[in-house]
Amino acid sequence: MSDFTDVDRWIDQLSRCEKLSESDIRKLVEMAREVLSKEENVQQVNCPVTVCGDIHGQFHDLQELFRIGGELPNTNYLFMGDYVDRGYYSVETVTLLVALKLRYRHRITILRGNHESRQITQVYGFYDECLRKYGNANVWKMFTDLFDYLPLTALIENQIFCLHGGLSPSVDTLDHIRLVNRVIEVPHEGAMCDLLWSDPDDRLGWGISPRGAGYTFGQDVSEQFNHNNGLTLIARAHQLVMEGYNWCHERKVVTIFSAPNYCYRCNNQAAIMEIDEHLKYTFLQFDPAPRRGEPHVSRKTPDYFL
Amino acid sequence: MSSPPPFRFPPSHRGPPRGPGQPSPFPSGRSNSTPADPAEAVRLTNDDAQFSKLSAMRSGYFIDDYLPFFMQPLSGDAGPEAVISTAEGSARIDPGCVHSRLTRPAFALRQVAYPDRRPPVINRGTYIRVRLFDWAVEAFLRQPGVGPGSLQVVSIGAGFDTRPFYLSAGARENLRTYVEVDFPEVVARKMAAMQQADHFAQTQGLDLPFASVYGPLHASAADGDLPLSLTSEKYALVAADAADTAALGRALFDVARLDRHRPTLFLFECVMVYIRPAAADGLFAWLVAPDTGFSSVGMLLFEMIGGGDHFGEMMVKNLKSRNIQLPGLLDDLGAHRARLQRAGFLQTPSRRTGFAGFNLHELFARVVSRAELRRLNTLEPLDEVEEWALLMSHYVMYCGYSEAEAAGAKSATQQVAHPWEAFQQRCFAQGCLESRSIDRAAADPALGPIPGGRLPDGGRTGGRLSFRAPSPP
Repeated sequence: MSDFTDVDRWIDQLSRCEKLSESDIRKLVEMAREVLSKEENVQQVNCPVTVCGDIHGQFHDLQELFRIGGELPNTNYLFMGDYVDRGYYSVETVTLLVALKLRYRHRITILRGNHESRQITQVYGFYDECLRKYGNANVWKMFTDLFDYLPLTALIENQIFCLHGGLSPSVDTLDHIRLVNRVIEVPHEGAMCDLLWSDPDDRLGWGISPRGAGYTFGQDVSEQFNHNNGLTLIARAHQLVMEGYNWCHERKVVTIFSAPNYCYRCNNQAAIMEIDEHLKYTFLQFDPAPRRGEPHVSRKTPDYFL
Repeated sequence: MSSPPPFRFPPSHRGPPRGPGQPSPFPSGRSNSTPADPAEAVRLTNDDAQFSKLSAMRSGYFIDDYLPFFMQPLSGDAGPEAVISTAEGSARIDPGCVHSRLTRPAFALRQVAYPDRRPPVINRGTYIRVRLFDWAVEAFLRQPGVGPGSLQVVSIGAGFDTRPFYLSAGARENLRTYVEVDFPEVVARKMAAMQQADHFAQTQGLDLPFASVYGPLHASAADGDLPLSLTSEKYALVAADAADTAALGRALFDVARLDRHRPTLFLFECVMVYIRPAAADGLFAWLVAPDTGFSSVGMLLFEMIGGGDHFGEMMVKNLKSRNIQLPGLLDDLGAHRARLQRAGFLQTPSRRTGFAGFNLHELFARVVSRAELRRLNTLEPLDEVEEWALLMSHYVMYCGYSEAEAAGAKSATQQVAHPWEAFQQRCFAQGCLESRSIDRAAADPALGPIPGGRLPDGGRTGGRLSFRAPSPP
C-alpha cells in the first residue's frame, strides 16, 4: 500500500490555494509519472463519473466545481484537459489535480489538453506564472515533462468517448489511437495533434481549423466514427460555450467547458456532465465562485483595447 | 506554395528569466493600484495602449521604431531604468531606450525582457487597430491628385502615438499639418520624452529622431488662454480637453493654425467612450457647425461597444474595478451612426455626407490579406478563436465624412474638395493589409516604402508592411 502522508499534506496545503515548494513538486511529479505512464492512450473509465472541460488556472472555480459536483473520492471525475494557462492560478490548479490523481488514482482521470504543452504554455501564461511564483522555470519544466505522460482520450463503459479536442482524419478506430506513442510534446500535425486541437463544425467532412492546428469535422464524420467504434457519444471540451455545454451533430457530440467567466472576461456559465450508473447524463451549470480572500484579483483585470 | 508551420516563435523572443525581486523593466500595462481619480484612470489608458503596442511589437506583429522613445517611466513608479540584454549579456540603460534606438536600431529592443506579455488575442487586436489607422491615414494623405501641403490630420486623445513620425514621405508631403491633442498631463510627458530623445541624439552627434521629421520643435508653456504645446512646421502637439470645444477650438486654430478650408481627417482612437454623451454629441456637432467652419471634414473612430450582452456587462464591470468609467459606451454600430446623425454630422443640409463601419471581427477577416494572415499565424498560436470572436465583435471602427456642397467650386486655393467616398472605400478595402517584400515596395514608385510600421526582419520574414493600391471601384 502506498503511503499518502505527503500527498494528503499537499492536498491540504493546495486546498488553501498555497503553492507547493519546488522540492515537493519534484516529488509529486516523479510519483505522478509512475502512475500516468501506466495509463493507456484510450483510458477505460467506469460510470458513474462526472466529466469536466477546460479549467485554465481558475483555481477558485475548480473548488466551486468540486462543491457542485461533490468531493473526491465520493464522486469520480474525468477531466478533459486544459488545466493551465489564462487564469491566475495555473500552478495551484494543475498541482492540485495531479495530487488528487496520486491520492485517488482510480477515481479521477486527467487527460491531456492542447495547453498541456511546452509551446502553448510559453504563450498563454503558465510559463510566466511559474517564473513569477518560483523565480525560475524548473517547475514549468517538471510539469511540461509530466504532461507528456497524460492519457490522450478516455472511454466510458465502451460507449462515451472523451477527449479534449476532436477527431482526426488519421484516426478511424480507437485502435489507431492505442498505437500512438504519446510520450512527446504535442506535435504540430498528425493524429495526436488533431485529437487535442480539432473542433466539430456545421459543415460536413473535414475542414481547415481557424486555430492553425487540427481540423474541423462535420456530422458525417462523427456519425461514421461513432458507428465504427460502437459509440453513442463523443464528449469533448476545448471550445468556449456560453452555457457551459453545447450539443452538436444531432447529439452525437457534446462540448463541455468548465471555466466560468473564462479569462475573467467572457461572462459565460460553466458546466459539468454527471453520468450515472445507468449512463444517464445530467448537466450541472455553475457561475464563478464568490471571490473571498483574493486580494490581488480585483487589481488584476483582463486586458481590453483602451 | 508551401505554407509555414502553424506557429513558431524563436527562443530569442523571450529574455532571460527575471528574479522575483527585480523591478519591472517596463511600465506594467496595468497600473499597480487603481487610481482614485477617474480622470487619471482615463489618462492611464494611454499607458495601457502603449504597453499593448510594445507587446505586439515584441511578438513580431510590427516594428515601430519610435515606440521605444516613449517606453520610459510612464506612470511614475516603473523606475527610471530599462534592462536590455544582448548577446553580450544584460545591461541597464537610460529612460526611453534612446540608446537602443540610436545605436542599434531594433536589435537591442527586440532583446528586452518583458515580464508581462499580452495574450495573443490582445496582440492581434492591437495589430489590427494600429495597422488600420496607419493604412487609413496613409490612404487619406495619398489620395491621387492631392496637392502637396494641402491635407490636415487631427488626432484627438493621441496619447503617445508615434504615427505622425513614421508616415511615408509621400504622405508627409501632402500633409499641411498633423495635430495631436490630449490632456495637459499626457502632452507634458510626451513633450518631455521627445525633447529628451532629441537632446540625447544631439549630444551624440546623431540625427534628431523627432526634429528631423518635421523641423525644429518649439515648446510653449500654457499661457492664459493658450495651452501647453509643442509645434513645428507640419506638426503640433497641443493640450486640450476634447470635451471642451472652446478649448479645442483655441488649440486647433490659435496654436496649431489649422486651415478651415483644407480637408481635415479627425482620428478618435478609444477616446469618445470616456467622454460624457452630451459632450460627445457637442464635439461632433461642433466639427460641422458653420461657426467652426470646416468645409470638408472626415473622421475615423475605433472603440468598444457594449453589445447589450454578457461580455459587454463584464467589460464594464472589469474596467470599473480599475476606476475606468465608460460614460460614452454605446451598444452597437447603429447607435454610433445614430449619434452622428443626431449631432448633425451626417445630416446637414447642403453637405455631402457618408458613413461606413464594421465590427472588428468582420473587419479583420475583410482587410487582412491571405499572405499577411499566413505571416500572422506564424508569430504565435491563436488558440482562443471563440474568445477572439467575442472580444473583437465588441469593438467597432468606422469612417464618416461631411463636406460642404460648395467645396471645390470656390477658388481652388481656398477650398479643396476631397474624394471622401473613395477614401472610405480604401479604408476598409478587402485585403488591404498586405505583406509585401522590401523589393516590391521599393520597386513601386507610386507607393514607395513606408518608413514606419515595418515588418520585423529577423532574418526570416523580411520586408515591410505596405499598402496595396486600391483597385478602381
